Parts: sequence; structure tokens; C-alpha cells
Amino acid sequence: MAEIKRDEDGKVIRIEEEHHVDMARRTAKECSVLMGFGEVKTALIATSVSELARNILVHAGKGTVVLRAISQEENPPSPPFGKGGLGGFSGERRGLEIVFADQGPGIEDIERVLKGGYSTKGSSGIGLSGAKRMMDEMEIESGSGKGTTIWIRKWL
Amino acid sequence: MDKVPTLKMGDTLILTIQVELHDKTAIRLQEDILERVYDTKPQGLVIDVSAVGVVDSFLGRMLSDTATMVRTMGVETVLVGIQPEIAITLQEMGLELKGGAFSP
Repeated sequence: MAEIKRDEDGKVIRIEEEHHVDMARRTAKECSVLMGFGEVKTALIATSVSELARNILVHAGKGTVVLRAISQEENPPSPPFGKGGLGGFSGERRGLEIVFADQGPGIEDIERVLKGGYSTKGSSGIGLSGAKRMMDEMEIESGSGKGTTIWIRKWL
Repeated sequence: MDKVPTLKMGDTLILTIQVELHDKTAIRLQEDILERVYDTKPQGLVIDVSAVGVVDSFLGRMLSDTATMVRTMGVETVLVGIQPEIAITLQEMGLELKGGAFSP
């Protein structure tokens, strides 16, 4: 898969209080609409951001959310359908990437959390697994005592 | 947050959620609803969520729990005005709203 190119200026939201989660959700909605995502994808993105930003607050107390436009070269189709071929194929897709980072306790068992229905905080436990289903891509870097970084992406 | 605007029409208590809720206001809203149901003793409760743009797992669970609690108080809840993208989001997320009925 081709490398993901990230726009230089992203929007950064610090998560320290509850209303910051609202701000992250609102900002995600605005970015999504501005980029041209439809209503359904915008709702999926905003809801995912709501889940993961709340996770920062609940599990780590504080952290950051960064929203950024991204693009990626698609595997060029072979001729005669390649660049300049049928339909003026542009060969690049655009999307929105949101990164959630904290220095909290980390996730001990990522597999288990991704199955859903497991929570250490008495909530429904479908936030992280739900976000994975709602987005196109999700990557998690975490471990006990190492903090957590989560990347989610939706392509236009 | 201001008290939730409610309207009693006949035997029905109608409540419209007009603000984007964050977690603390959602919990206060739940308590407000239960008090209002107790005070007004309606036959049914209608919650209008047509102005709500995002229902995440927290708000979804809160709505679900509220409907269950209201049922415990002897009153049925109908959720109205769920936007199509919210219905899709809840389905993708794997969250089923329980405890109440639905109406468009």
C-alpha cells in the first residue's frame, strides 16, 4: 500500500475536560463536512471521535486529538485503465485521519477490547470496537503503562 | 443547562432534546425526565431526538436506560425523530436502543 501523505496543518484539540470532548466531536463534524463527506459518513466520523475522545478523558484524564486531511496514491490500475486512461482516473484518494494520543495506563489486551462488550469503567464497552466498525481503518499502539495512540481514517 | 422543555398534551408528556448533550448534562437530563414523569403522571412519554446530531454509545445507553427506568415507573417511552444517519451509526456501532418504542 502506498504511503499516506498528511496535510501539514492539522487541527489540534486538547482533551482535559468534558466539554473538550464536545469540541472534538463538533470539530470532526465541521472538518468532515468541509472535506465533502456526506451525512452518513460525517455521523460515523463524529460518533467515532466522540467515543475515542471520551476514552482519553475517562482512562487517561488528558490527551490530544489531531484531525488532518490525508491522501494516498491508489495502486495504479494496469493499462489501458491506468493514468490518463478511461475516465481520467486521478490515482489518488483523499480522506480524514484523526489521531488520539494519551499518556494514560494503556490498553493491556487490545484484542479483547476490540471484541467489544469489555470495559474497565462500567460503560457499555463498545466505544473502541464500535469506532473500528464505523471507520475504514484503525491502528492502535498501546501497552500497559505505555499510553495509547489510536489512528482512525475515513476515505472520501 | 436550562431545565428540559416539556409539554403535557392530554395524557402524554412530550420532551424535545434541543441541545447537543455532553455526558454530565445527559445524566442531569435523565434525572429531570424521571422527576417530570413522576410529577405529571403521564400515560406515555415521547422523546423527540430530531435535533440530536450524534448519538454515541454513552448517549445511546442513557436514552435506553431512561426508557427502561420510565417503564419501571409504569410509563412507556416512544423515541421519535431519529435521523437516518443516526440509525445507520447505531447499527454500525452495534448499539441497540432498548426499553422503548420508536416512531418516525
